[in-house]
Amino acid sequence: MSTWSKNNAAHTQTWFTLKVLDQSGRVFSRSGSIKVKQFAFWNPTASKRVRSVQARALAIQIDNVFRMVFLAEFESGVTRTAAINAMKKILSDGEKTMSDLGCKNDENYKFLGEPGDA
Amino acid sequence: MPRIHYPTYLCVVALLVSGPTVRAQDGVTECSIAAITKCLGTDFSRFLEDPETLNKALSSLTSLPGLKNALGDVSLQFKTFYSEDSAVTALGLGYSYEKDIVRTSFDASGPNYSAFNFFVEAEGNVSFNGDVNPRDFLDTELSFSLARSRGGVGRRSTAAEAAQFAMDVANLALEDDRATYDEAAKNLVQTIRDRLTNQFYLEVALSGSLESDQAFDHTQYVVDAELGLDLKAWNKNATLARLNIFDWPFAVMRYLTGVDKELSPRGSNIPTALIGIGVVDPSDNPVRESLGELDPYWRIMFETAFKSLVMETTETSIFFQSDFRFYKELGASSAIKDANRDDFAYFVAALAASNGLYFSYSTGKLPFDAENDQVYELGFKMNF
Repeated sequence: MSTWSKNNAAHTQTWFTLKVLDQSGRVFSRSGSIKVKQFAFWNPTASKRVRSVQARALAIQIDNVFRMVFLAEFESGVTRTAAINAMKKILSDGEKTMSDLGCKNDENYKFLGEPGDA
Repeated sequence: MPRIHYPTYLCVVALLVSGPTVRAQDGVTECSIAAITKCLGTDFSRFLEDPETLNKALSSLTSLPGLKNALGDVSLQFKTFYSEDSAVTALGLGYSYEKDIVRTSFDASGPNYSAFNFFVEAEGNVSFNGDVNPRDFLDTELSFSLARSRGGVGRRSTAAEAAQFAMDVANLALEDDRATYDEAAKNLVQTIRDRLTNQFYLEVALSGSLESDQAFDHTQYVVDAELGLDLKAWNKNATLARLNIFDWPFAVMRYLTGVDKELSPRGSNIPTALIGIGVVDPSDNPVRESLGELDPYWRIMFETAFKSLVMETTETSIFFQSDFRFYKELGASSAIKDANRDDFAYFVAALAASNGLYFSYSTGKLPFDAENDQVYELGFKMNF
C-alpha cells in the first residue's frame, strides 16, 4: 500500500474531491490520518443501514468527479462497480482513513498526473 | 513493559478468559494466572484488562498465513466495555464480517449508475462479563439490494481543463497553512462545484437479520424490505440546496462565525431517509412471551438522519448530528398496546466537537428498551 504523499495524484485528487464535496477541509499534509468517522457525512447517531446508504451514494459521486471532472480512467481489469464498492467499503468503516481511501483509489484509477498517464 | 511473543500470549489469554482457572486434566494440571505469572515472571493479569495489548496479540496471530486465509473477511477486535453506572468495566470482543456474494452493475458512461448487490454482513460486540454489556444491537444481515443513482456531475471536462485541474490540485497540496489554502482553493472549488448537479440516490433492499440485545436475552428475526433515499445538491447555487430548511439555522451560525463568507445552506447534508416494512418473528423474545404474543407480526419503520457543520476553526470542527427512528407494529393486539410495545420512537441530537467534547440529548426507546428515557450526556471522546 502506498504512503500518503503530495506527489501521488490519486491521493491529492481524492483529498480535493472530498473538499469539493464538503467532507473535509484540512490541508493535504494533515489529511491522511483523518478517519472516515471524522468526515462530514458520518453520523454516529444514525443506524448502520443509513450510513451504508450514505456511503454508497458518496462513493458514486466521488467516482463521478474522478471520471468526469478529473478524467481519471480505471486501471486495467477494474470495473466501475468494483471501484465504487471498494470506496463504499472504506466509507462504511469509521476507523479507515483518508489515506486508506486514497491508496485504494490509487489501485483502481489511473489519474492525470500519474507517471505513465494517458 | 516486558517484551511478549504475542501468539503465545494470545493462547495464554484464550485459556484465561474462559475462567479464572482451567484444568487440563481433572486434578492433574492446573493453569491459573498465578501459575503462569510464577512460570514466566510476568504479571499477566494486568495485560488481560488491556484491549490494546490484546489487539496487538490478536493482530500478530491473525497475520499468520494459515489463519489469515481461514478468517478471510472476519474482523475481530478486543474492547473495554463500561456498565451503565460506569462503576464496572469488562473486556469484550467486537466482530464484523462482510462478504460480497454477487455484485452486478448496469453501467453507464455518465454519472448515472445502477447495480444489484447480494451480501452477508454481521457485526456486534460481546462482553465476556454478562453484567457489562454495550447497548447497541448485535446485527446479522443477509441483504439483497438494487441501487440507482441519477445525476451528480453535469458536464465532462475537456482534456485541457482536466490537466489544469490536476496541476492546480497538486499545487494546493503543497500548502500547509489552512487560511492560505482556503483562500487559494476557493476559485478551483467553485469552478468544480459549478459543474456538479443534484444527485438522487435510491436503494431498495431485502434483508433478513437478527436483532438482539447484548446478552441475547431478547432476540427476534426480521425479514424486511427497505427503501433508502439520499438526495444531495452538490452545487451550492442549486435551488434544492436553498430549500434544505434543516440546514438554515446552521448556515446562519456558520455565516455569523465567519466559516462561510455568504449565507448559504448546504445541499450536501440534506437528511437521508430509510423506510421499511417487514415481518418480525419474536419467538425468542421473553417480553412478548410473557404477554402471550409470540406469533410473527408486521412492522413498519422509518429513520431519518441529519448532520451539519456548526462552526469550524483551523483545529476544531463542531457538528450538529441527529437521528430519529420510529417502529410501529401493524395490527397490534390490545395486550401489546396496553403494554406499550406496539410502537417505539427514538430521537437523539448531539453537538460534537472534533476534539472529543460532546453534548447529547436523547428521548424515547428502541424495540429492546424497557422504558422511555430522556438522557442528557456531556462528555469527552478520544479519537485515536
